[in-house]
Amino acid sequence: MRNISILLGIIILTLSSCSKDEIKPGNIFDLSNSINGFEYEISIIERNINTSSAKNVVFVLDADDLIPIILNEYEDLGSVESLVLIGMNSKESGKRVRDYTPTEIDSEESGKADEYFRFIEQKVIPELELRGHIDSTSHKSLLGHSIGGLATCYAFIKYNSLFDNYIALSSSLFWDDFVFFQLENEVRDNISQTNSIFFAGIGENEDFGITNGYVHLTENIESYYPNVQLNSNKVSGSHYSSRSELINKSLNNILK
Amino acid sequence: MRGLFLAIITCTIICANVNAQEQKVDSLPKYTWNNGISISPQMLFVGAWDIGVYSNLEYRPFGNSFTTLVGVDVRNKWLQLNVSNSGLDTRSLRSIYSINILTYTGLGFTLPTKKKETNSIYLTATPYFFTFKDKVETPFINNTVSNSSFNFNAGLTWISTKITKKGRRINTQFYIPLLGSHFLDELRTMSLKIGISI
Repeated sequence: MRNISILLGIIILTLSSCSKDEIKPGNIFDLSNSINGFEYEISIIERNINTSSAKNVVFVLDADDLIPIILNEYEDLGSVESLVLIGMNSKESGKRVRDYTPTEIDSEESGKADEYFRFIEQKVIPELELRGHIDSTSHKSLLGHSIGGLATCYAFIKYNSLFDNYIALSSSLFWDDFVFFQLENEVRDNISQTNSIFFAGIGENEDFGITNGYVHLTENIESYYPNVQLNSNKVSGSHYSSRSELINKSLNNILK
Repeated sequence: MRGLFLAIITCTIICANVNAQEQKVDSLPKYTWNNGISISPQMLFVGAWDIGVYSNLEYRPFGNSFTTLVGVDVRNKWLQLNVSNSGLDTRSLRSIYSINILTYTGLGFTLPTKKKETNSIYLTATPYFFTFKDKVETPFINNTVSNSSFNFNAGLTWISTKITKKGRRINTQFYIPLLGSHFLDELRTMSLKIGISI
């Protein structure tokens, strides 16, 4: 029994330390959002970095969950392309809904996506440039899943000067009674000539409006954004079990 | 000294269980047919109420505590809260149907319990069919989508049967999926069932 406990302890410690081990000293630091005073931990993981080619920089929402999956899929691809992963997690736990949603609803702290993306624009990107992790030639992507996928879609319509590529997986576009489509409709004329790659994906078993949101999003991009290169993917599985395959496909799509 | 104490305790528990098993062998029915209402507690997480019916058969081939299980559950999503504390807030989303049809088979054993109560635990394999169709209608989105898929998971089923004073046998069951595509995705197959045994 004691041996089993020790073995379980070692497994848990190993699993919990995986993502942190990937980060070199100096590639993790704190930044404060001057707009609202929220504190964030910025983490950077780099693979196959060389000076001769442009870097593929992926800003990852829900980094603690998704970066291990991204690294796993990247290694499975056997890719030699450069990859820089940026995590921007709140120092307070459980604040993803606050940071990733564009509107506020009564039942929980929410609606601070604008403040979050202005923080990325005004503090995170300049700091990363200063530290030499990104430069003007970098291909910048934003990757999010679920509520993070909603934030990715929101960045596409409101902060499209910040990123070149968008990877929105199983996006919670049902948020606030599908308000995203109202917001998209309001700004559509101003951004319809935007030029980017948009990867949208879901698992085929997803309900609760995720499939509906995905179908309408891809229809809108195809109809109203002629310069956007849309890659839409439906894979087997549901909300969580589809993540690995979708990330694998999206990496294939954006790595240059 | 401590080791001896633990050994005595262990022997006592084993002896008690063996005696209880022997006492129960005669009283365990070879067949138990359970029927009733099945509820998926998704409401706790996403404010949706999946309710349906179940029917399953417990068979003890050797008349002892070894037991097998085979059955079927059918559940539909009857209600999804418009504004839930999970942040769904989907006033314009209408579920036309969202049906899970689960078949399952299990191997397990009946625990030694009280005179008027049996408790059994099964390792259960559950292939299931999931199909849904839902519609959204707002000024900015008007879509109806549907999909169907076959899936599989494995988990644990606990079945308790109690005999009331009037001689009725009330059956309570709980299923939790443990192995499958992803634990959180398979939660839709977690279920609580209440019914009668024949």
